[in-house]
Amino acid sequence: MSQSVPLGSELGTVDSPAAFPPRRAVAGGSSASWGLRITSAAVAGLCLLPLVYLVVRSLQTGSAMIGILTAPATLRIFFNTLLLVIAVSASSALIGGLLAWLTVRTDLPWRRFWGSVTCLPLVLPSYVGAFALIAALGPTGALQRWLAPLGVERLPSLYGFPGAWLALTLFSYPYVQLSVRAALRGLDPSLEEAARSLGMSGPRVLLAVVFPHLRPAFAAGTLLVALYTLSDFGAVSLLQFNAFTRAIHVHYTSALDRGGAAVLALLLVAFTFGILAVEYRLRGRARYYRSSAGSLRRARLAPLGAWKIPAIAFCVLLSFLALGLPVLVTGYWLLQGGTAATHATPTAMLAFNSLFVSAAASVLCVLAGLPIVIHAVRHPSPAGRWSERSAYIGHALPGIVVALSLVFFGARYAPVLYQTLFMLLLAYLVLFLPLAIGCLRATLLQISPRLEEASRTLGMTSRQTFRSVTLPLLRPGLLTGAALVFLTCMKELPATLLLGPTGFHTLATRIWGATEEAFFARAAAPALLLVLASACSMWILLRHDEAPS
Amino acid sequence: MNNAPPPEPAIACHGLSKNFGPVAAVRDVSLRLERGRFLALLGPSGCGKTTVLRIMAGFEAPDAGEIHVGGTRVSGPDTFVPPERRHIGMVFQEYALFPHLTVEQNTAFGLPGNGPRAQRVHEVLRLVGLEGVKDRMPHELSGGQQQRVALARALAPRPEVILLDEPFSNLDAALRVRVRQEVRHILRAAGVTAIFVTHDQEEALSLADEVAVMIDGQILQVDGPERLYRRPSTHRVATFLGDANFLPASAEGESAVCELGPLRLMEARDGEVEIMIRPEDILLEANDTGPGEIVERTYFGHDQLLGIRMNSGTLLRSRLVGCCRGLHEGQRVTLRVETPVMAYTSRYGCPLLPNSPAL
Amino acid sequence: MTMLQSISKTMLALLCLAAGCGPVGQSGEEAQEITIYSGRSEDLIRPLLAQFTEETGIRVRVRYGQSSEMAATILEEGRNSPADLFFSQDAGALGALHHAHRLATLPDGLLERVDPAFRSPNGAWVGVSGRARVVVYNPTRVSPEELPVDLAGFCAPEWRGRVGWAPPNASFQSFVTAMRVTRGDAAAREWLRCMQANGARAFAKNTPILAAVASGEIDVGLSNHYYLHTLEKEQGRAIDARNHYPEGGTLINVAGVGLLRTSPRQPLALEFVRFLLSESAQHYFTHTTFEYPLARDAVPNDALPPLQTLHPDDLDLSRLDDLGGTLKLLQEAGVL
Repeated sequence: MSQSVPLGSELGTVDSPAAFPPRRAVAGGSSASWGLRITSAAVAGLCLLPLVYLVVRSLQTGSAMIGILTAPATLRIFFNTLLLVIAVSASSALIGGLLAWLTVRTDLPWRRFWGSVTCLPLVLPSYVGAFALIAALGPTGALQRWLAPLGVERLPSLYGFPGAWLALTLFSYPYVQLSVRAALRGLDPSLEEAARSLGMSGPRVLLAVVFPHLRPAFAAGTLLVALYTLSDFGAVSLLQFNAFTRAIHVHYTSALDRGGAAVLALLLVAFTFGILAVEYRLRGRARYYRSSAGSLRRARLAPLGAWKIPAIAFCVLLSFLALGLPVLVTGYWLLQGGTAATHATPTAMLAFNSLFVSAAASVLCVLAGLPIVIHAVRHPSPAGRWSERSAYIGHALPGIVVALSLVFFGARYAPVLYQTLFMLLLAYLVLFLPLAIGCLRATLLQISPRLEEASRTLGMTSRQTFRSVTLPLLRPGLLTGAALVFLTCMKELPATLLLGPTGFHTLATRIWGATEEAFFARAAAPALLLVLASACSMWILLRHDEAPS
Repeated sequence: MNNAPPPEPAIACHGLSKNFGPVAAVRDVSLRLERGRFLALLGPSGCGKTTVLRIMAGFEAPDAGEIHVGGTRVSGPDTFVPPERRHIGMVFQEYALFPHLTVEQNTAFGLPGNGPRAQRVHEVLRLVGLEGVKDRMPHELSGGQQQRVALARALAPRPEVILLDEPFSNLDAALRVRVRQEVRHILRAAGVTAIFVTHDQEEALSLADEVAVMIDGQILQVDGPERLYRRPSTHRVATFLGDANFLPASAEGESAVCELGPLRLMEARDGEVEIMIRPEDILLEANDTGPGEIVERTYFGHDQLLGIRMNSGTLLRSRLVGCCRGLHEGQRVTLRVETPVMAYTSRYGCPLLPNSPAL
Repeated sequence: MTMLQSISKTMLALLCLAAGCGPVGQSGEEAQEITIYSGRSEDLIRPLLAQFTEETGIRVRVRYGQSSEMAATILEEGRNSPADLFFSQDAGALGALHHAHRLATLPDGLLERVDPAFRSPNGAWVGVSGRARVVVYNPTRVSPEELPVDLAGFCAPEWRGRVGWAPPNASFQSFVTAMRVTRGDAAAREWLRCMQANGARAFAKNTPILAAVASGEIDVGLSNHYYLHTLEKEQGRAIDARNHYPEGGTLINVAGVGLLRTSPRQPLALEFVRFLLSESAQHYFTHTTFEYPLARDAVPNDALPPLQTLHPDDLDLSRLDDLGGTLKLLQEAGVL
């Protein structure tokens, strides 16, 4: 068994040498303690609040509900969304998987550098990213202007499906990359060697041996991509693609039609359960491999040979599109200057607010995720499984739906908490808990229940065991989960606007406020600061990931 | 059990049963073990032996039955003492060493924070011969060393009983025999009572004072290794433990008559029986007019296994130690059995067919 | 384990802080403070708020968001809404709150300062500034003479793919509602269909339309008049875009304010409404955000065509509240 669980085993997967075959029982008898059941049910209940709200609001529409559900427009939105989710998931899986393999298992020059840089697009808010794409690749964007002298009259239109697909892929593939690279690191090289010795060629080994082992990692990463695609508003609205989120927003913004929006959102929830079911099947009966005792050997790096140049070109292009462009565009805004209108809240204060709530939310999500994951992994039962699934609902819903549902419950039933930071943190919890759950789950699966049992036979109570065995071993998962939640909170907008304390501003709300009136120069500094701060936390995440196991 | 019951067994369980859904994993298992003795729980994989161990340790609650450790009831209809208060140590199949702690910290894990902790750690590590590596992390150790750390860790809090789950299955064959001896010495030196689970009969016979044979969730026989081998109580135990020839015979008191002629029985029987003869008990002599013919010969070096077809068509196996002296394939032989043999009344509860499946 | 302890301690500290940041507590200062939910962006109105506090000593706490989001928030908050005032970017959101009986009737003295065309006939809200719907065009690609007299003219083949609009935008939707009111649903639907068929380019909101016109991505766009002026001011230079005011008059979208029925601080809140209609605030709207001042006595900006010439007499703003009908129409036409 290795000294520590392979670090940064992000997002939900595990084929690692330290993993162990799941077994029926667990420390402290075979069923979960009441404390665990109650806390995980409480967290799940919290995550179900938006669903309750949506049901309440939908029922109020009465017979109109049928009309909305059967409208041709709804059907079109449904298929648009389906198409987008499938396309973005497929392309993200491809790009993320390829990058993970290139940066972990090949002799790609500067592979560590590329490994980090290509993960960074995760820190970009989609509203900034999509804007940059339009500026660069839009009908009158920079690319078109450069190509015009060469006789290119008109680039294929970015608006609609192609743009939404491109933007969402570019800003969400790192979920797959992070997940797969952790799994690749943990993969026992002897499996591949065995396949080679049986006469399989390199590419066939990749397909027949490596890929099946990475399947749970792909499933977990792609799930997050799919949910991100479902819930994102910035990219689909700027790039004019009519997906569920945009339609839901239209119901709110055009007619203040909360009922209609709720019906669509409920449909989105059903959609989400469909995706979760698919992921559950893809994840399959995740098998966990144990290598012989002793430490893990490093895998041999595959020589790229003549493919080195295309591989580097691929990394360069991707980093440029997903990271370079947005930073350049923001930098351009900054240089444009304009009236340097000062803001009520100094930018440093905005940054502090962002960092503070995001950090608090990441701690909260990780703490709340623990009981859910322990319940689901260590005491498999329908209740545990459903608690875990409920946690995913909020992540697939547009932020505004979650925010309004908490406005509804908060103002009516918890006026003391309403519009306090506490309420905002709750919203972040409902929105981003799955990010923490994925990481915790992956790490916990690698910790053998035998370790906990061993501790029990040595006289430790289950509580002491959790503190002195489980928790220290969960550390990598805790840190990675916290970092992912942190990154996502930094760019969150609707919940921050609706639920934060009145007068509370963050970098994200500031960027939104300024771009809303096209004061791009004013948005530039907070936007760059947001990217910078997020990149720092990403660096921590990746450095941890890089640490030798 | 062999002797008169001593005052207080180290561990005793009575009538343990456990179902997983519709599957009866453990059925009415009773065991008792005196202080300082080793018991092997032997059975094919999936027979429920690991479940028995986990029930004893407190990781599973039995559906029925009681467990006493050192005279205290730890599990029963209205009692369930959690694992940490049972004074039972456990060595896991995959060792379950804490990967984030050093050898020393692993060993000290179960010791109370106060008291002569360092001294005890030192003591146990010396016992298992690992003082030199106390600052290493588990992954820096060889398989055998990890095994001994697991043992040291389990021994450190001086448990009443120590349970070992397939303790040698993770070691390669060459290492296994050596580690087995080491573990035996360590356990003896510690004076501890031990129960270990294994599917390897050689391991069970060579290491334990008592062996319990478990098949399909039930314990079929508990005895000393020699007695178990020589006098298996049923046909099933006989086949599970070692190689055996079975022949129909008709018994009368202390002797029985079968194809090989009259044989002495270990226990008196009457009527139609099935006798069990270990291959090493069948002695051969080359004789061109003998009733059997050697049809197969497998040579192992220090011994060889011969297949003999009798005139009746029955196939028997004989294990011979030493040199062969003209015993080659096609040679006709006479067969002789000098030791007393076990006899079972009909295996199937009905008269045996003349040519029942021998082997 | 120290990690768990430190985490718990941090959480505890955070929660204490969180509690401290809550709605300003039951201190004595509460009496001199009002809470506004604003659909108007902070960058537009912050200087105004500072001026108000300076003049009256009343502190203002503002929650910013889109008008519709703020209205939805107030609706969801129900009786416990902490808001005293709703400052909306458009009349539609105010109308929705009025229909939900969430707005108090404003005193006549305040209402009378504004032309009845730009306030709620029931006195539920009052307009404070106006924005005209215009056609923005790129002067390097289109001359004003080429522009059609009527918006229906953009359905002509020569405008194919050259026009931008923002169907999700509230002011665009008000404009469609106005078209429904003045010309009937059938005509409005027909216009939307032919525009859609003629390849009208859909944008998320008005500012990207302006940017697209200035960059030549499209030749004309349907937008509000003041974005051009604020953008030029912000960038400190002229951009390749001009406003064209349709000759037959155009819709004036109003930004207005409503007083919440549930507000316990109505007298203070009314001070703010009064301030918005005061000379200094109206001057701010006129010269800083380039809108039309709506108070009867305010002096308009010379650079803009006079309001009276733009507003069609037959259009009653209070009739622009059938947002659901417009949404349905937009969806039927495949525009949304």
